[in-house]
Amino acid sequence: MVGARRSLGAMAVRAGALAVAGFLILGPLVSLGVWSLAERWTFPSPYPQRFGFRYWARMLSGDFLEPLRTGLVIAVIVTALALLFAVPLGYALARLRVPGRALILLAFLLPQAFPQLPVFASATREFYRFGLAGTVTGVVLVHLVGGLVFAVWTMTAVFRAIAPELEEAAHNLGASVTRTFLGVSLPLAVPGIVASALLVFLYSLDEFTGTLLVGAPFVTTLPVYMYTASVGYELQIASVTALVLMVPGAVLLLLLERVLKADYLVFFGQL
Amino acid sequence: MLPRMMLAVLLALVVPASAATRLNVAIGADVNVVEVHKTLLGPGFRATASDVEINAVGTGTGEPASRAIYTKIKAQADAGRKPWDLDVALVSMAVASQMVKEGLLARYVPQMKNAALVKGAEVKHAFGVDVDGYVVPMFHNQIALAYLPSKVPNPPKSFDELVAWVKANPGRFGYNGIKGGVSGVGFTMGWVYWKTGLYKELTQGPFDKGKEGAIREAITALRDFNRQAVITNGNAGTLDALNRGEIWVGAVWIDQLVAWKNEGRMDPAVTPVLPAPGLPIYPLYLVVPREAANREAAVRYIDYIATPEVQAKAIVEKFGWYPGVDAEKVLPLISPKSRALLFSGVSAQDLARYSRQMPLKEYHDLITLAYEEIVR
Amino acid sequence: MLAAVFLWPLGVSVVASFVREGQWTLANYGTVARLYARDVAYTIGVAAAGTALTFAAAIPLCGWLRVRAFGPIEFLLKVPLFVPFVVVGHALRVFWSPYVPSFSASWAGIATALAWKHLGLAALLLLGAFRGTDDSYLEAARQLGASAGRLTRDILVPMAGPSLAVTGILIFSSMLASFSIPLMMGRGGGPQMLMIDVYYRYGQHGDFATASALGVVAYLLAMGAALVYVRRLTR
Repeated sequence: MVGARRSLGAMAVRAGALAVAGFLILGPLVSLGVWSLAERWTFPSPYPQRFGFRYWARMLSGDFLEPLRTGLVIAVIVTALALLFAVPLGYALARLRVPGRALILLAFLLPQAFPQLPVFASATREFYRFGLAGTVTGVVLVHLVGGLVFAVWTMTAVFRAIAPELEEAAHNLGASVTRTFLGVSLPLAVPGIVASALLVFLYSLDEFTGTLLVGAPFVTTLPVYMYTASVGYELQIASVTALVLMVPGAVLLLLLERVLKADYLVFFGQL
Repeated sequence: MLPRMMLAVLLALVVPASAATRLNVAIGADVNVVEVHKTLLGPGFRATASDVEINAVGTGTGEPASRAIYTKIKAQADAGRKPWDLDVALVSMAVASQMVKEGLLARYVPQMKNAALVKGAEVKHAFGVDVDGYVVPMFHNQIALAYLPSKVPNPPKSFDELVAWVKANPGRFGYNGIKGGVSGVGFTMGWVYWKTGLYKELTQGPFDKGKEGAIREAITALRDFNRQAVITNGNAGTLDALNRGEIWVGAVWIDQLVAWKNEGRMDPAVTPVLPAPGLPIYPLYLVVPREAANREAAVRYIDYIATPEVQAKAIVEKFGWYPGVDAEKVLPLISPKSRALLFSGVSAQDLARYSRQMPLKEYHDLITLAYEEIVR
Repeated sequence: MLAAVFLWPLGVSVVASFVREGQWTLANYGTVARLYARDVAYTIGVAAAGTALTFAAAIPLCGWLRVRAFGPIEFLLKVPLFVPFVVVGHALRVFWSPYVPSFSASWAGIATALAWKHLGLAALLLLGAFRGTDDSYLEAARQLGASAGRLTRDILVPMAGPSLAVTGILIFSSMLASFSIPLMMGRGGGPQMLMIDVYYRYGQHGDFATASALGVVAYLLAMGAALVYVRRLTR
């Protein structure tokens, strides 16, 4: 009897906590959805006066699709380049004796630990000298700096997690370092590489500060487009964009929750 | 509905845009201005010149949008590379004058058929720089006070009246300071003109550092005024606050007010008024970079935009802007309804009497610096 | 690559902050002190408030989750990790705007939005730290009838002290340098976050020198925080 009451009480506490946390965390996201459907919502009405898909239909217009396409292209290039660089480097940092290992890892952390805006402002000016500002190449370079942080750190963690005994066995059978890497470590690391790739892809897709500065005047991605809309108080258009921007993250959260280790998740906090 | 939308999205992503002679047009202004070029001016021009395709790109919002265009062109000039990749740019007065000063623009207006229509003080001088022949205003835009007639039956018609009104209605006047867009900067300039009485000196020069005392005094008075005013979040923020009834009078761009009304986002009753001794007019200029690759086509495009018929249809009727070129030629072409809308609250006479120029660059910087230091 | 795209511009901006019109000078820092001293204090204040708010929400929640695991809430706490900064700024703005429009532009509004975004990271790090504590302590205390709140306060927090400190520093310095959230939330008058000032100086005035000086101030603030973080990481 007492036990039942207690479990009932515990359930109430849980339900209450869930309701509060749900409201606080999902509330703002739900309001994005409401705003995206609000064709008319004027103060002081507590809810929209007219709902509709008008602003979602705007998605079809060129000024929405163009930034989407640009952003996707950039994200794909950045992901490919970051992996190309990070997989061997991560392996080397995890396995081989590299002089100044800690220092290299730290260097890659810099772009996340430092205030980015003034650096990107400066980078924009430098890029102009080489004709890189306002180009996709320039934006890719800026995204790479941030993306490499995630890629190198996750790849190092991934290779560290693979038991060295397997590689030693391959070694003992006479395989070279390269063969061992390609034949043993790399296949084992595939899930980690996928996670790392998604991380970089998401980072690039969502990156705002660098794109705003280096991309101007010509390269517009969805976050920048969203900012422009929001400054003009086009709250509905900005909300539609925000929801679209959240899709990849949401998919990742739902599908990969079990695959992704907490070590990688930490990096998402920096997106 | 949904599957069709998704299909269209996919198609748009996969199919690349077709190529022709592309005229690169950089628009240093908000999305609605980019829209005009993409949906009205571009296609309209294409109908007259099938060999040219307009590639209009927005570069962001506010002053940074124009500055990005400047930086881009400047970098190409510094690198000594030719030709440059921008053919036409729409930039703010501040940026256009700087570009003229640094020799980055082509003096193209004399080559236009409509050259005679490009008139007015602001196509001769901008921020104290001689810009004659380098610029054509795409449209004129006026900063004004907008008010809610239901709450303010007798709107302030001068700065004196405004100050008295704000005293009687604290917290009911709003503008966006100087960091949130040009309408607030313009209001500040208008305030300084009124308070110092130095309109002529500040706009025509020569620059005299001795005026700083008077300017700082005016800004100090503005600080006290601000205590009973609301500082809104950007140009659009003022409109939003008016819409909510949070403020009853606000300093706004007339074109944004009209645009919001057209989109049904704004209470149609909100009316502009231009207070004496005036607020600045701040055109966006169409310019051609000195080494534009398609200069001849660029001039043709601007010529097209400057045609009275196009001005009447696209600029005035559709968007509620004041014409960029000779109003006497354009206004007879617009419908009476559009005319009534255009001059509701602010008449053509008001415009003639109370439109102010922006000050010399040196004074502009002094004023904004004083504002940052004193008002904060 | 990293050097070219990050370290070089960083160096350039530091140098530029000491130069005006071709002369070595401290004038840019004079401008910063004259115009932006209040904003520096404001930024530190908002970041501190945001960090405090994050902890105020994360510590009890994570303590409770450590004692009684409950999947749905743990999942919810991860959500902010996957929401980009720009979206967070916009979402919290429109969340308030129909009801209390002035809140999103207030210091409290910005601190709340920053806390919302960092809640995910804090929860992740704190839960990790809390789960690292030995079960036997908790069991012993629970036998004595301690509630989840007591367990958190008396056992989990003291034992996870160092991790807590690192988490706090990480979040604090990230909030100091935040740009997109305050930018999206918008703010008219009054003091501004430091990065907004940098953008204003650079974007509106093209005044790279003062923007850089402001940047150096931000670097120094972040450096203090980062040093602690780095020392912890390399140990």
